[in-house]
Amino acid sequence: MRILTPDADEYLVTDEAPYLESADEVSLFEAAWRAKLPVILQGPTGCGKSRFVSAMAKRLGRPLITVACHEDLSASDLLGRHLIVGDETVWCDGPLTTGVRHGAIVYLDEVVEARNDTLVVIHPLTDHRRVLPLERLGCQLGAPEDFMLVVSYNPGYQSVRKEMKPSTRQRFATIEFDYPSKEIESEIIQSESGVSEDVAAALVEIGGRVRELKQRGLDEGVSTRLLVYAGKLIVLGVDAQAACEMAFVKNLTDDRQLQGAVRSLVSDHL
Amino acid sequence: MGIRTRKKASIIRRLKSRIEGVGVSVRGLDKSLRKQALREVLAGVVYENLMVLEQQILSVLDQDGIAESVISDVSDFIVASEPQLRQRFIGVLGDVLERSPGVFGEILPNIYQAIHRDESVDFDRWLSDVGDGSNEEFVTGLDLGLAPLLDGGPVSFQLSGIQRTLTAYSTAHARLPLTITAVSGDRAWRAGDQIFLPKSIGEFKDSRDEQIYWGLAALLSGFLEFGSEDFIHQVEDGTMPSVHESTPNHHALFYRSFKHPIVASSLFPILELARVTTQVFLVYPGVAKASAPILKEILSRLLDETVPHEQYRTILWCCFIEIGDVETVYDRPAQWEGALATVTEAGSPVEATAAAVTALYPHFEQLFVESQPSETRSREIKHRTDGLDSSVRQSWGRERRLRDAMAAEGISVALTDVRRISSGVMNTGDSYREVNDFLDRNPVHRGGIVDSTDGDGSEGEEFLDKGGDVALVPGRGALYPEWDLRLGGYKQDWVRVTEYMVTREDAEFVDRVLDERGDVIGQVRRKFEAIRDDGMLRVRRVKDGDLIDIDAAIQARLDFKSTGHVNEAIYSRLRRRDQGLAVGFLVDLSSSTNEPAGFGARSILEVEKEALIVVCEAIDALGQQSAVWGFSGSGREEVSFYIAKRFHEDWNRSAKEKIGGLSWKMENRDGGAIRHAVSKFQENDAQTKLLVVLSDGRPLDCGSKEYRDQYGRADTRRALQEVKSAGISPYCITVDPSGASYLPELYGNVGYTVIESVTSLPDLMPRIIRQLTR
Repeated sequence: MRILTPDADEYLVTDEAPYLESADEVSLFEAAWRAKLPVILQGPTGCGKSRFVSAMAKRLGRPLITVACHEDLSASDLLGRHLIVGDETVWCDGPLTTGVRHGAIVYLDEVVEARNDTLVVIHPLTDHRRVLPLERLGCQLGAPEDFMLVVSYNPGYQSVRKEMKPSTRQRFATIEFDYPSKEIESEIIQSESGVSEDVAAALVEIGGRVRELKQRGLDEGVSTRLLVYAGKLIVLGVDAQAACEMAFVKNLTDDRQLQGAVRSLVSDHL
Repeated sequence: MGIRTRKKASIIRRLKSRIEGVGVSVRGLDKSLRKQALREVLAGVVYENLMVLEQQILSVLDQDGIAESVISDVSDFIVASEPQLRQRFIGVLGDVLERSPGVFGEILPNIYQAIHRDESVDFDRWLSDVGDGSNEEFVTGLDLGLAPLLDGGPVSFQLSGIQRTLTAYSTAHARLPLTITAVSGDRAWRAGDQIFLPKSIGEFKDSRDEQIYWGLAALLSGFLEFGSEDFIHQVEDGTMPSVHESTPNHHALFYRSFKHPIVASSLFPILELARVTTQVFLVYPGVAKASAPILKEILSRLLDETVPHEQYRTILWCCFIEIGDVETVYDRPAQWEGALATVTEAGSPVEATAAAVTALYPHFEQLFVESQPSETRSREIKHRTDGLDSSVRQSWGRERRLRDAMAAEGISVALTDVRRISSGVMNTGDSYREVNDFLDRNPVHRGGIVDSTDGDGSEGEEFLDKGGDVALVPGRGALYPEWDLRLGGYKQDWVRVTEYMVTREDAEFVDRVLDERGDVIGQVRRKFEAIRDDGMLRVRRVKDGDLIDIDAAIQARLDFKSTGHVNEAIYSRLRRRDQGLAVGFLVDLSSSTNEPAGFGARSILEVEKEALIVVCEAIDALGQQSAVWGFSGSGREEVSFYIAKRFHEDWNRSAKEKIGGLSWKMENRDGGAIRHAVSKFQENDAQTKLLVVLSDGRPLDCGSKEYRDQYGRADTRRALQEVKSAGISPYCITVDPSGASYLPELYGNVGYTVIESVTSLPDLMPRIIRQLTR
């Protein structure tokens, strides 16, 4: 039976965008990769987890295979499935199998969105065995040295139904992420959006203030990503207040009173 | 709410309960206590030179026994007096209540009617205001001096419209949870984590009135942001008097380093306001642009008026000149130049304010000495108080003089704080215990206190009634262990939790909720019914289903081709995702939940009950189960657990009315109640179990010595660990603005929500539950 495996080249990271290290996450990640440890990237939405893993894949020269997890994600979606091509039955590798074959970094984004029974398939990959059983092919793949499994997890979701099972969570080392420091966040905003240093500094200040409202009405603080959005709009000539309104004031919350507070925090600085 | 506020609220609430039960609390009271109360009043009366009443009280004190009629005489005096005299006497009563709430509790019910008959006095407000302004922290504010501010009519801007928004805004500025409280009058100030703002502003009758609020919020939260609280006064050896403070109050220490601390303590807040204003305007150009012109206009107008403390206002004005482009309208003395310049430099720290105070002190000390009362007046006071107990006389006179002097300097300080500072008594718990002891001399029925406001005029009697709104559940209830932080272990069988069924059905409450929130309830129901499918799971590879499972079908075809075996399990179908969701709501029924919620007349508990009606509707629409329990009690032997709705009970009119029947009780010993709630979940086989604790403050049981602070939190944390071990997810929804300071320790970083405005709870609660269970 023929086995279809996508080329590794398809997953090589070519993005030139730089990643600015906030603490020691780069060295920690490298150490985990060398030690062949799976890693959880834990932190709020939009703080740079996905950007980080992309940068690390490039730095380590590994293909990066990203899976956006969701509730209907099945084990077959991860491992692969049989397909009928003409009169032929072929096996098409899923992303996890592809990653194992190529020694890639497989990144399961928002892993809690997947059902726990689906995630069980990663267990043999995440302990000393480092193998991927493929029941339907009647074999198991041993993961090469370069393979690494990375998942992202945002504890801010708060859903009691979407907590990682301890049996899954305890297979991973954890790198904690938070929003970058003021200086780094300002640099990120400048480099990503092209705004001036002053505007970037103001956006950073606004972000810091708005994040104080997390769990005091806001489920999440404003992400660096949204601040970059605001910066991009400002660079294109949109009025600063209107840019912030569009980028994050209205989508952080539907609560009009809280929107009013965020709006005032914006006008304090711009 | 904070402990201190909570204690005060509890005292006031329980005092009011006694007051409204006139006839209950007076009979059979300790005569010596009543005598002491009268002595306290007498001291104040003498100081205020209320001679008529002084004679009345003295004649009674000379008698062996104190007749109840004496107190009636006091009441008559209040009613018969000239308004000015009456106001002064009512002021005395307020001072006595601050000094000795327990003692004063003896006579308060009897003067209630008298005060109540004076239409110029809002008794509730008077009682609530007693002690306001008391604080252990540096207090500062801005006297706006805007005459038309108060109740400025329909065109004035009401704080209520933006209070929640301002709270969030201030919190973001200060990076600390702040609360904003509306007050009558035209002052705006901050004390600790509270900002007090006028309830309405009608100065300009246009959008600038709202802008005043934004400016004030930015300025007052700026005190926290720019380090006013970080002031450290370096005490040199031998220069400070002994201070009875476990935690040094550096502002007070600094003031006491001057010959006349009052002068320093009046200068400091003004200069600090100038420093902080400068920093706010420099760091927030938006605030400066929008608010500075308005504040400057107000201040410039003040200069044209003859107002007290003009010298201080002038300093502030000069500081504003430093900030911006205001024309100099006042010639400031040359010696102020350097001091003011340092205060208003960019990045100037709080120490610069202290340096400026030191520089300006000599000038203002001279003004102060010139304004002191004459010796003649002092002698007169001494003569008139000779007949009193010497300790009472001395302390009263000292405290009152100190407070009056501070008031003359524009500093509002409560008598309790003056008393504390002057006597070295720092533990405000003393007065609380005093009043608690007094209140506890009356028996409390085992089911807790019944809401005295629920009756039809016989509230006082109902207070001592066994209660008609709950029924003891025979055989239900249990002893639970309690975690003792000091022992590092459990005290076995330490807390007795007794179950009561709520039997009172409040149809009126439900009618009102359905009437006012019917639309919301309908919307929530429709919304939750629409997402009901979210709780469904598509099961694959089954023999019967509504869709073909493509993967299974392909696999089946492959198997058939290779083996000849036919696998019929090629369909998928929906089934409920799990065995369901069970949400138990555990409502703190402590006495503080009877405090007003925001600006409305409704209490916190009333709003919480409205929210419960809405959220239970939502859960029912999801096809899931909910239970509603309340808890309160006093002491470890009496943790009462009230059941309004069980899991298996239908969500119907009766269930709603029983939720309406929940009423405020006494304390909240959270640990025992949480452990009992876990036992209620054991009767439910839902796969996802969620315990939502609805709270308005920290775990606190004043019915016992230890259940507070660290001890209470440690036990609650341990109880919550037991909740998790039982497979139940705990979550806390609190209206306590300081919740973020202690809830992470109990519920983890994401296990709680602080509701800024309790009135928004009915809207927010379904969203929170939806998010938790999505």
